Amino acid sequence: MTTRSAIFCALMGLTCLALAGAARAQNQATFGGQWWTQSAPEAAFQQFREVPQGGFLESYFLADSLHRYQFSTFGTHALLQDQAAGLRLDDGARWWLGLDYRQIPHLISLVTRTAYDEVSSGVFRLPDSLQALNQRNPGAYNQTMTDLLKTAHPVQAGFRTDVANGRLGLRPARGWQIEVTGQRRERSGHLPYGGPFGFNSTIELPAPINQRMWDGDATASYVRNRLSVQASAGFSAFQNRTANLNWDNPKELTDITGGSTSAGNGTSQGLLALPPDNRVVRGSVGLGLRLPRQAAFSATVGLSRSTQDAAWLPFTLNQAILAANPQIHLDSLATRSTGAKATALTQDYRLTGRIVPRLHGTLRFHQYHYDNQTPVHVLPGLVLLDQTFEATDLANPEVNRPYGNKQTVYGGDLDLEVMRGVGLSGTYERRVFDRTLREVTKDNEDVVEVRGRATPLERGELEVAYHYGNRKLDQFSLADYEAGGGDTTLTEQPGLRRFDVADRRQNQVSTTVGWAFGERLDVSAQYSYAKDDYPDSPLGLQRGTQNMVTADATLHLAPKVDLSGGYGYALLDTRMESNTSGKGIVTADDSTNWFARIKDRNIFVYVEGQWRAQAKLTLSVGYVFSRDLTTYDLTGTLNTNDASSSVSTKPRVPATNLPSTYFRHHTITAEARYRLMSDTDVAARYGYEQYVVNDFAVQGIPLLGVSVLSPSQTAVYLADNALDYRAHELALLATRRF
Amino acid sequence: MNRGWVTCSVLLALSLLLSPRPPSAAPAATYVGSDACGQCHEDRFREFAANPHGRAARDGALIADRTGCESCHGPGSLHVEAAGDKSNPGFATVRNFRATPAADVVSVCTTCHRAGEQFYWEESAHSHHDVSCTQCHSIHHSLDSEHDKLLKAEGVNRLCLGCHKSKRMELARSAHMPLTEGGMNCAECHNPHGSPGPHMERAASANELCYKCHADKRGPMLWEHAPVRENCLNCHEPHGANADKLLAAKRPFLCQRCHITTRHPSTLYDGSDLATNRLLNRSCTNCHSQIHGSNDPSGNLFLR
Repeated sequence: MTTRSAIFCALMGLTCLALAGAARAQNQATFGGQWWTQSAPEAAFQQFREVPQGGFLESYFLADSLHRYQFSTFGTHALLQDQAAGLRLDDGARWWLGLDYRQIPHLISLVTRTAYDEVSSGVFRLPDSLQALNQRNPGAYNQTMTDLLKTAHPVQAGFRTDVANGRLGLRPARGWQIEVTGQRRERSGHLPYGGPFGFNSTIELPAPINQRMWDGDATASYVRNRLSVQASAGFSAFQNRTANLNWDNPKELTDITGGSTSAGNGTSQGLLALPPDNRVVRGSVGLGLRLPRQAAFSATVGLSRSTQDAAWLPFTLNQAILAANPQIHLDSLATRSTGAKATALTQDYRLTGRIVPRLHGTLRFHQYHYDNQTPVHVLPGLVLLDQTFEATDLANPEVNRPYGNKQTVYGGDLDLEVMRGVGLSGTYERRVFDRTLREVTKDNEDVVEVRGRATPLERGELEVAYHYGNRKLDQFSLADYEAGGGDTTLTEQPGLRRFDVADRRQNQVSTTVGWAFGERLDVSAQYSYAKDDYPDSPLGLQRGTQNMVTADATLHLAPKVDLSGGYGYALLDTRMESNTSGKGIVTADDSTNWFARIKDRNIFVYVEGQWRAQAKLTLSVGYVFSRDLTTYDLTGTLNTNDASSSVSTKPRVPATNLPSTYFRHHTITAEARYRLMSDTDVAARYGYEQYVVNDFAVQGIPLLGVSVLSPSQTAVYLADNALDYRAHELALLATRRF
Repeated sequence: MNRGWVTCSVLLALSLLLSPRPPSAAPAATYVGSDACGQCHEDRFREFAANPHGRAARDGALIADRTGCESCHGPGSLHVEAAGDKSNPGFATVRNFRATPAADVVSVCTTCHRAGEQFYWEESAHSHHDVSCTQCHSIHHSLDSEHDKLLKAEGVNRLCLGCHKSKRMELARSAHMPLTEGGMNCAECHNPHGSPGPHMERAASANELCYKCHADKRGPMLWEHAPVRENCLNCHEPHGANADKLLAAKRPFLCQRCHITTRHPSTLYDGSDLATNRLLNRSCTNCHSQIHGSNDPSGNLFLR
């Protein structure tokens, strides 16, 4: 037990005793101690929580009246990394104030290591002697780095988000409601991040996260009779206190300019811009009208303006490049920041009502228009990987592309009550997606949905739904795959259709069945099937099929015994086709195509039980099992003879399969709770957790990635970041109501 | 918008506006005041005084013409006169919410709750699927730990997952949002009472919603990644995924749904040499770490 938790728990215990019987029955505090052991220091055990070791205050709630005011305060996991606390104060319906604070940990790895020292936030250094040695003797790089990395020190990868919320509501007069909200969000920690130099795949670093975000909104509503009006205005600001990442090149102590992939050439330091500060101001107006004959109309128009004008970093820190290319000095540029701005206009209109007594209809229109007004900058050149300067080709200038889009959905719904407990619904939607600066500037999708539902004998539930969508692109521009500026060299395969803009046929079916067998047993089951076909995509994602089934049951086994449980299974099967070619060479030769079939399977089981064994004793147990299994079939043979497949059946070059990846997680909890006194419970809780991970991407990662095939392809990694573990938890708790 | 669609819309709009008025029933009972209720329902009456509705009753003029028990249950004179005799027709003249159709429950609640969170209720998917307020809220027997939302479950997540059962499985996947751990809840992204956004989201688009917490991705950036700018859900599954970072597929396969050749050899995959095939750790984003966009003058390939 830490000192802070001991003090806090003692204070809470004393407070509970002092206030015993003073206030309301709902007031309570649960506190005690917990101890746990874990077989391996795996972050997944505490990914989004802090499991307490020692004394802790699990939860509390205290409410009381003060004159005409009512206040309540509540919280969980006080003083831990995942704590939450809140305060409410109100004066009946006149005004109310809410304040909340919570911490959300996100632990990624406890076993990562690095040889870099973070000398200040975002600045990572290696010993100069090492850089000098590698520069003098590049042939010994692997050995030099191997020796260095033996001294790599642990670094915790993960961050924590602290969220503070405030909400003030007012009812100044009949029909009026004003609400003001504010939020401050702070995120700090380290996140694995890569920064390559070109001679290797990457240098992996624990990049600092040091971000702040503020949001504020004020909303005023007026409701009177058939009219309701709402107007809101707000702002959002993001600030990144560590604006860039600067790290040493292990191969160079002095700056050299050279070819982008030449081993040994390059810069002494890399520089990378982390997410820039940005701001948003926004406002919206909403109108609601209750029309005659049970119809209602609503209209909402919102407008927001985003700006981002963070100062540009230098093109590179490589002094050799800067000396030879004065045109890329920031002082020489016409502008030194992006001056980015975008306007988002949202419109939403809906008319709903009863057409005839049993038929309900809705017409709706929704449009979100993101108009990116960021200026187009023609830069004098680029310094990719801080190694070499690539001057802008005037015939083929490197310019930024401020992508914008407009998403429009309009359609209608009809809901028919065929008879009491039986309903039919239908929906038609037209979705139009306009894009700027992409290979597909517009696509249209027609969506039809039909649903039927029934509640037979008011004991059962039956629902069936079918969804069909057909998305067609208006025009595909192959020029987008060309280098540009009159250069017709392709940078992508001409047959590639990116899945987010490709023609797509979507079929989905879902069913739900439920039945209550008397007062004792409720069962329900759901099944859903979804298939996305990309019939006109010779390359890229071609099909995705998902089957999911879940079943749940609640059993009131005996007057004192309740059981509930559920099972779920999901299978997502995707098929994609790609092409093998030499670097930068686009070939239309589909004999070197390869095919991948990837299957994601999930199993989920949970069981909960409660037995009120005696008047004072309650036993409860819980079990949760989840398993994610992904298999990769790259052999290209599975689909070849599949005549029913809509995808290409051309010959393919089989690739070597990858090993399957899986995560398996068991959690068991058991609790015995005894009512010691009318206002005091004591409880003993045991928990067991087992986590098994098998993922080639995050296990067995060397600190120095030396490829067998290409010895010069050397990467510096943060090493493993996933381990199996087993953990046992034991907690002794007391709940005091006062 | 084609002509057929316009015609259909106009006809539907007209029929909505000109549909027949439903018959209205004349009230028979009269209001007697909450104190009369307290004489029989003593415990309920005492508890009610402490809950948000009870406290709001003292400021009734600010909210509605009538507050207290009868504001929801209707005029109680005949029920009082029945004096507990269930065979008396007057006994059942007060509104029993367990036996009240969803639309009628909603019409009672929206007498007061039409502003703020509930502004878009009538257009919401829950409303259209006959979900009533009392399926999620319990005025007299709430279970929520903060005792202010009057929920029928201990927390928002448990309540939502009671119906949206497949989401429970999705949230148990190895990559998931911190919902089961209590770090956030469904209602932070979705407004169960309706919103002008898709899927009852608390924003006009998926991206605007994600930026509420992930403002670092908001930009606009100097170098944009088009699918990122258009829809975060092109790559991420928000409720849970098998792949790290809630990605819809493991990298590099996710990237290769859109990129085949661009400045890289499209190598075959060989499980014996994961490093050369760029399969370790974050795969493509080991180098293209600025995949959400870069504001670095040298960041056009998201390497800087």
